[in-house]
Amino acid sequence: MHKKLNGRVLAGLVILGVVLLVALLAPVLAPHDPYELGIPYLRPSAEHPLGTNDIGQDILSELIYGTRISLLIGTVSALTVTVVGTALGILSGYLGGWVDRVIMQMTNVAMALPSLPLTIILVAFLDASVWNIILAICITAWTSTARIIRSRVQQLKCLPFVQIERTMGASGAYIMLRHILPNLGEIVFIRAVLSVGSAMLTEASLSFLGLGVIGQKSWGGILHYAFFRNGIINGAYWWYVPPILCISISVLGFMLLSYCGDGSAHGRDRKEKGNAGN
Amino acid sequence: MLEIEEVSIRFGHNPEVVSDATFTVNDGDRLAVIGETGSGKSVLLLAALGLLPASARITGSIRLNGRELLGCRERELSQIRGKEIAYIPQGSGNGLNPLYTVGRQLCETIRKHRPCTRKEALLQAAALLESFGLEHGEDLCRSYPFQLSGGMRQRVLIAMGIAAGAELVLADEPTKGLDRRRITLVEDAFHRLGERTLLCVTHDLRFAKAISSRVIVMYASQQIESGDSRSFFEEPLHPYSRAMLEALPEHGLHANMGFAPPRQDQDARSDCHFYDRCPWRSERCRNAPPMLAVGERKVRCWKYAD
Amino acid sequence: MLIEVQGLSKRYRPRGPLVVEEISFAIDRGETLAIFGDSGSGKSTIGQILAGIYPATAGEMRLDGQTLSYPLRGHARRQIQILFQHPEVAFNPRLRLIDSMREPYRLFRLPYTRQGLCDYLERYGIYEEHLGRFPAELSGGELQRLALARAMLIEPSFLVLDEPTSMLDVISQAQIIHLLREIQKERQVGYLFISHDRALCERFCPSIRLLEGGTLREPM
Repeated sequence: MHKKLNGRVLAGLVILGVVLLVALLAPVLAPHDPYELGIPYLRPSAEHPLGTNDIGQDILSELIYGTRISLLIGTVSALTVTVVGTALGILSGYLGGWVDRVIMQMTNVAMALPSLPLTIILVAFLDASVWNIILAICITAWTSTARIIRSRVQQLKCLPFVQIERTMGASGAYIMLRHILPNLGEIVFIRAVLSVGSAMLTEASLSFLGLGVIGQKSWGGILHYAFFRNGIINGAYWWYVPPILCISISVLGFMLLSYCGDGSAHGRDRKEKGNAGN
Repeated sequence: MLEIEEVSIRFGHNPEVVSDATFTVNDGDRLAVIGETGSGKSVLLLAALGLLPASARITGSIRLNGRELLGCRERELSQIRGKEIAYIPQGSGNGLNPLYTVGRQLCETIRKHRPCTRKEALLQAAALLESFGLEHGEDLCRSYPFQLSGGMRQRVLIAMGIAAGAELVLADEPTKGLDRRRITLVEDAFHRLGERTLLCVTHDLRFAKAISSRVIVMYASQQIESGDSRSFFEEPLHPYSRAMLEALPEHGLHANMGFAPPRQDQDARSDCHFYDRCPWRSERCRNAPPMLAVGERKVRCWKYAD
Repeated sequence: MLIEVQGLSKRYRPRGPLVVEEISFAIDRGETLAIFGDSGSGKSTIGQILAGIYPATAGEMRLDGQTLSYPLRGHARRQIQILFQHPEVAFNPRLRLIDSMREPYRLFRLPYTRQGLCDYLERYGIYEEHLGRFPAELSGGELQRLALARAMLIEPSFLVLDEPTSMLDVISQAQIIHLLREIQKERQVGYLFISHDRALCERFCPSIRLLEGGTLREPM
């Protein structure tokens, strides 16, 4: 389907394109090895465009390498959350009955859990590897996706085209995969994109609290050191402002991307024509 | 009162959905625009209300009491809607806010256009409801929309449409999705509009017959016939109009016309838009016919050229 | 008898009100029973229970003497099909119509050729050009004829017609009715025709019933 992009989506795509490129080309782009020690507390200069931290590591290089971990954790968590949430939402909405009750109870429990403290405890108990952090983020984040998908599926299920499939004897699995899932496309996409943003924020919070991936640079991690090694008190703005900007801008990029579909000129036209014809 | 002149509408680069619509609605007229889904009738109505989306391109002129509506600012238009033009939405639509009582919604409309106290407005609202055959207007004002039946709700909507005192009523498929009994109630409510001028878009021929004094038939974006209601329903001129009347269950439910060919680009056609389905077609129908006058009536068919 | 219904009742919620109560009727091959009534009278409920979309609360339904149980399976599943009121949602909006029309071929393992499908659809006034499009690009009449064609593709012996023409203009309505009559003559299909339009019911078939307050009776 041909879709014209609107301005917001385009801006989102540009931001994310740049972020992705930076992550992929980190070794090429970074002026220094981010782990290399040098002179501490250097102000921004030609040699170190964003200065250095308390042990003399180049902050720009840290940021560039940090993109990798933020993006990895963000996308993998969002993917997991979306797959799990969508699958449970479809099953619960389409099958109803006891399946629905069990899944909704699980959702209620997961929603009632205080998510950040739980994530913190989990990370603290498990060792702080990338995969454990992803697991900790996912454990509570799938619920809202499941809820939203479920209510949409309940609507779709009552539509004649689904009922007719049933009267033609199509199996539940077939209907869910071929007829329900494609009609959820836009919601699933929007949920996925928004989940990337929130997963990146959670990762940043964890790293800020010192529970991030050990031994790897991440934006939250830079902030953590800036805060706990007195960067903020000493007014080393070049140390703590850039990671905040990086987090905000990339989350914004994903948020903008979520406008895809609802504002595209093509989609609007078709809808209008449909309405006008009635 | 309402003059529509050479109005053509298209969405983006798509083919025209209305081409060259021209007609006048005089004071006290009750005009029904009849046509099947996709014939462009609803789009025309929305254009007169200034409710078409931004991607619509309109040419021509729509004048209300001599005042041009096309190109009017949204602020002016929203003043005109309600005060001068009443709009009655589709029958099955939920035009009422479920959270407020009927009385509150009616009063709001009344007071927006004619400042008065709440109490006065409420009295007016009750009287208005009663004038549409709804008994116990005051009790009704206190009820919420969900407490009313579908037929009552539709009549409340009609009352609300004219609550602000508009003299011109535009209705968009007011019977769509309603059953026979409710349609009868809506017909009754339309008769109670009194001297108001009415422009009603519908695909329901029986309803059009019951409420209109004049009809226009649209087919594939064009007007194909217009005339007074009585002679139209006695003896329609255009072959499409004839087929419609013969297809009514009470006239025999005849299906003596071919299926419409797949929708195509109406712009590219130079023949009569009805050519493929017409039982009377001949060589000259390869050229698009103009609107021809037959006595007081008009029809777009070469058969009446001689 | 093709279809026999005895003492059919339905409530949607436990302890909720009975939507239809103790309905009984029978329809033979090649015959039509028309039920008319106002909206909310429960006429669609009857049709949807017969088509196996909901289970009945009480009562018995038989197809060719065999008792039907919910959910319908095997032979019975194939024999009963339904046509709904709203043609604009009768097809998956994300699939091209050709793909939607392939579904019955796939589900019932019918031999499929594109040409065969096009030939079959000709009498329904649907052409190859229509099939490449999405549902939103066709008119209500076209979609409803296509929906009828899809239902008839699997050769059911009984068809529930749940207000199939109430959203259509008069000409499309007459065309659908005309097709239904032809099909009935050829294949001896039984119809349950549900409508709010008494004149239409009377034109369509000799036996009509009025559904009022959940019970069925002879109209006056």
